[in-house]
Amino acid sequence: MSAPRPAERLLLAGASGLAAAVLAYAALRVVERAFFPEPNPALLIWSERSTFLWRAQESLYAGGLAAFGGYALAGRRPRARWLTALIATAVSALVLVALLAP
Amino acid sequence: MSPATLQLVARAHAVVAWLATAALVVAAPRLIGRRRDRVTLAIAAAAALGITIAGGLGVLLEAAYRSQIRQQLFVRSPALGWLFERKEHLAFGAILLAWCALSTTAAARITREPERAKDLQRAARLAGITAAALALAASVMSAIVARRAHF
Repeated sequence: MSAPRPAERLLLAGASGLAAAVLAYAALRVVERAFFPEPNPALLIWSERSTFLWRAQESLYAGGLAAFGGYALAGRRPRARWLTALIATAVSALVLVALLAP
Repeated sequence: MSPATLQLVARAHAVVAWLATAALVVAAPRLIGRRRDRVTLAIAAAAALGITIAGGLGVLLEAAYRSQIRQQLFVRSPALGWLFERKEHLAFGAILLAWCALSTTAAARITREPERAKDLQRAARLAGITAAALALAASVMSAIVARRAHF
C-alpha cells in the first residue's frame, strides 16, 4: 500500500489534531477537578477568568501540537485505523468527563 | 454589551445552534452509508461551519454568563447549573468532531487506496455520528436550562 499523498496527510493531521484536542480537553478537566477544585459556584459572585475558555484554548494548542504527530504517523502507517481508535478514545473521555466530572 | 444586544446574541446563538444540530443530524446518515459525494461533503461543511458560528456566539455570551447568570443558576438549582456545565463540554466536543468528520470525509474522497478509504470512512462515520449526538444533547440541555431558569 502506498503512503498517503501530501493533501491526504494534511487532512489526516488536521483530523488527528482535532481528536487529540478533545482528548486534551477531557484530560485538563480531570486535572482541574482533581488538583485545582474551584469554589462552590453558588457562592462565587464573579470570576475574572473563564476556566472553560482557558481549557478550550489549551486543548486547541495541544491539538495543534498533536497534528504534527498525526502528519508523521500518517506517513509511517499506510492504514488509518489509529485515527478511529483516537476518535473513539477522545469521545469516550469527553463523555465520561461530562458524566462524572462536569 | 447592552442587555438588548445580549438578548439578541443569545437568541442568535440558540437558533444557529439548532440549525447546525439539524445539519449534523442530516449529515450523519449520509456518513453511515457508502456515499461520499459532494452533497455529503457540502452538508458536513455547512454543519461544521454552522456549529462553529454557534460556538463563537456562545463565546461572546461567556462573560455575561459568568457575571450575571452562573451564580444565580447554581443558587436556584445546582443540578441545572451542572447541566449547563456539562452542555459546555459536549458542545466543545461537537464542534471539534464536526470538523474532524469533515476532514476525514474529504480524505476518504481523495485517497487512491481502497483499504485506507475504508478506514477513513469508518473514522468519518464515528466522528460524524458522535458530533451529531453531542450537538443534539447540548442543544436539548440548553433548552432545558433556559426553560427552567427563565433566561
